[in-house]
Amino acid sequence: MPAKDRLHGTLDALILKTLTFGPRHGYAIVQWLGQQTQDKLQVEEGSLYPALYRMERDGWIKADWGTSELGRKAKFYSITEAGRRQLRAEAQSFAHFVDAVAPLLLPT
Amino acid sequence: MKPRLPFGRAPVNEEVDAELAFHLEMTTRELMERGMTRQQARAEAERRFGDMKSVNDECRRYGVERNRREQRAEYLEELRHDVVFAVRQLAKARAFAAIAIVTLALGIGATAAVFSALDAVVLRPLPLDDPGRVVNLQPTRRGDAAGISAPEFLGQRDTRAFEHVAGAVLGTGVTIAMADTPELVEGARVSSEYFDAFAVKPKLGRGFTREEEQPGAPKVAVISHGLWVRAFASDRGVVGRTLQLDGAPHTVIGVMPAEFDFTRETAEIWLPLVITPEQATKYNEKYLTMLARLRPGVTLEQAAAAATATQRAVAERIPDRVDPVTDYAIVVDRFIDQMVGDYRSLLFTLLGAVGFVLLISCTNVANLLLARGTGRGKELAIRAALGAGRSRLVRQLLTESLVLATLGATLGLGVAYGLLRVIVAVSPESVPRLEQAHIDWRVLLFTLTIGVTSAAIFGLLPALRTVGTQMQGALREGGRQSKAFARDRLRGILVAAEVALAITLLVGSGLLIRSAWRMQHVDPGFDPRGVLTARLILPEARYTTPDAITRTYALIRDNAAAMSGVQSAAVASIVPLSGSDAQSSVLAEGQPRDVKRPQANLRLASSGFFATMGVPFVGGRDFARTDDANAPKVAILNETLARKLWPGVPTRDLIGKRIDALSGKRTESIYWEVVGVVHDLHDASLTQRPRPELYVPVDQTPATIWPLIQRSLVVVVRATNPSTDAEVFVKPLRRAVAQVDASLPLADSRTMMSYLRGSLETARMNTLLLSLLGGIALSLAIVGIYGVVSYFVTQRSHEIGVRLALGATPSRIWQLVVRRGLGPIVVGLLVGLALSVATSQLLASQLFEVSGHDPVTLVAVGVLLLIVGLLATYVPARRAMRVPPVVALNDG
Repeated sequence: MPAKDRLHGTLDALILKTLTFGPRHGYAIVQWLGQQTQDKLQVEEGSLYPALYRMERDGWIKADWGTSELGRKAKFYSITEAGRRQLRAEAQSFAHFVDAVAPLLLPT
Repeated sequence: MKPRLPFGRAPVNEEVDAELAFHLEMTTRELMERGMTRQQARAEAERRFGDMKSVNDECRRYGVERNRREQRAEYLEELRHDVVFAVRQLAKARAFAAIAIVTLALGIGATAAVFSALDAVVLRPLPLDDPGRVVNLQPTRRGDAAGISAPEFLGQRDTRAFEHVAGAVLGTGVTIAMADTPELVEGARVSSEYFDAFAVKPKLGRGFTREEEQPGAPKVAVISHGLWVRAFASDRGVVGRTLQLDGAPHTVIGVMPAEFDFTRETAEIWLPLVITPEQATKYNEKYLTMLARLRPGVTLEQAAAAATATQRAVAERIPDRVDPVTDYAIVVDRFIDQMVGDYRSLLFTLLGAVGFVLLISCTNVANLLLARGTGRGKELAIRAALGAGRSRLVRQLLTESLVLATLGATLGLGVAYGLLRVIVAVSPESVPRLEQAHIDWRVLLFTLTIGVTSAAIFGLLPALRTVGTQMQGALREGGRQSKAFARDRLRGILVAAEVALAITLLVGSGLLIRSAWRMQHVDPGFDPRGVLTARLILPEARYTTPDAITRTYALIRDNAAAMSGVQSAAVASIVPLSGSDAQSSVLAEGQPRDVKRPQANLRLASSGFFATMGVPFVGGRDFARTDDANAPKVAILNETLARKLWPGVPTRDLIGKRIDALSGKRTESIYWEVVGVVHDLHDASLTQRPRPELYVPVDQTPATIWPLIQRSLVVVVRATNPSTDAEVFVKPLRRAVAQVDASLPLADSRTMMSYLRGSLETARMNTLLLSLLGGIALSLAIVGIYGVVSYFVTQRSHEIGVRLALGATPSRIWQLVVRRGLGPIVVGLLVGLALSVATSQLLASQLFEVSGHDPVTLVAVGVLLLIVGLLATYVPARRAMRVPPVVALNDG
């Protein structure tokens, strides 16, 4: 599997996973991922937003304008049924990837 | 209806800007909370974000794509919804749907059938490489078509405008000695460039070389794919085998591919065209056909100019030329045009006729939809009240039309399939490639296109009208009545249009049918009843001298005459209407030699030919057996030739005069004494005026003629009983011939009745197909008129009831209704008649002895439409008068 796809797929999966816990806007997604990984994972905005728009185009997530915690208008994303299916497939393929790569890269 | 996404209509750029700005703002705030100033925080947030512009661009691109996908999905969803809704609506109005679908199926199906015939015969290119470059070269002399001699062909070989120039003698019969019986197949003698002119390579083996055109070269042959399959069971080893052709051994050197069998009538065997040095200088032996392949980029005009220049250079060398060289020219036509010939205009005429039928059926359905629109006022008003916009409602109604058209087109394909069968069945055998007509993807595409187009034609006007009135009339029940008048007028216009279209079509059909009728009553000039004809070809190998040839034919003729049930038998070179031809120039004795000599059809005939063919004598005597090779040369003329040579001279004074004809050179003369004059007969076709004809006795045929006509004559047999089907003589005749020479096959055995029918086939096809289309148009018009008048009656039953209750006499009501029905009919009648006079000019070339504005046809069609219109009005009008006044009172 090409490295770029792996990377894309993993970012998609992380975003989708985040959204399974409820609708969030882009900034909140970054925050949530940071918190969950004790700031080990810093998602760049430069990758996040194009990924969101691409997944919205493909119908994996949908967006609605709502009001944020601070009373400002924000675009909230939520996961769709197609998105959940995509997440399952992506998680599975990631597991296969780790299975295949781990014995090579990790000392036993 | 599904609400759009709240931001759906906001431009994508604003959406992206707002979202990214929000993100920056949030990051800034977070940084400020950690103690930065607002400016520092802002700068840091932007730095972290990275290349804002490229992110923004990428998001916008995805956003635009998203919107497009959503729109499409939404549109498809609406369409699906509309289709489901339309189908449900149509299922509720079964009678309406059935009439509309059948009407459309007739229109669309008929159009598709004619299109597929036209496509197969005219439009589809020949299966050749660049077929447009294959052309026919036709020499003309002062504008009249002329034959082609060997030196003329040889001269054209070097014309630069052509890649290849081929000479050919087409339509020669070739006898193949098969295992049991000899078989005569269609053959051609062609020069070495012939296959190159078509850019077709043999499937097996090779074509001819220049060496094989030389006299004395080894005898070789190329066979067609059809013959290869039929006679050689597709044996690849056939190349190199020896065949007995016309009694001489020939080596098969090639097999042509299947694509080269363009039509049922193309040759099955090709032999090299051998031109002897002697023939190469004979300008008056014109027996060739010329084909060529244009060089790439050369137009027909350029080719014609170049070929004409060559032709004039050749004419310079003609030793005894009378006409100036500027009289010589060459016309260049595309091969396919030549092949399709008159059938092009015939099929386009049919397509035009069928287009009228389609328009009539569209008008009819438009009328039906209009009536239906009135009935659904409430439904539409409710939908409008629920928020459906005007364009949304129009789209809904158009979807309904589209569903109707799709169903109509589907059923129409069935109609097309059936009608195509009919067209193929009633068409003359000679229509090239018609047997290849099928309902294929081109026809499907065409049907689909006309289906959608007709849906637009018949659906748009009623949809706009219906929605327009409904939006104004809204839920007011009374609103319907007030708008009814405007709609009545539109319906009236539609009926008038329908009547006008039907009349135009019927007048066109009527004219062609009357032409056909006239044609069937032309006196052919001979009596075809109980006459059988069959062609014989004597092979060169065994029949070398004129004496051997004439003796053989005399024996065959005597055997034929002795057959039981036969009154008389004769032989001749050509029989009328058989499509064969040969010409000679004729000069009356004493006329100046260097004028343009009259041309006449040249026919060889034995004694008894005129009696056997049933051609009456005007004066003089028939040939006798004593008019043989040793006796003085005699000739018989037809009236047209007699008039041409000696205008105004009475027949009895012509006997004994002498004519000069059939001489090998212009400077020599062969004189023939006129012994008889016969009635004119139609030789080429029934519609052409009889041409001058010259008959000379078979036994006195100049020796040079025999090789030119392949020593071939036609045996003619007349039954004692004229009602005998002459087909019964085929077998006895074969035996009679076999008694003389068992290796001679009988070719083209056909009765004269069959030739006569054949020459009427095109007329018969016109009559049958146009009657059929005219009938369809008429029934559609009846349905249309009936629909409108009965709709009017239903609409007004309330009013009529009141009037009756108030004492109006039934005749007053009758007047009201009939005026309503007849008005549009009369308008349509007048418009239609005017239109017919204009369109029938287009038919002029296909009419025979009938003028384009033949009053009989115009009046007959007008009266027919008027009667039909009255009947279609009468039935609903009678219903109107039976309306009981109670209905009026209850209905209010």
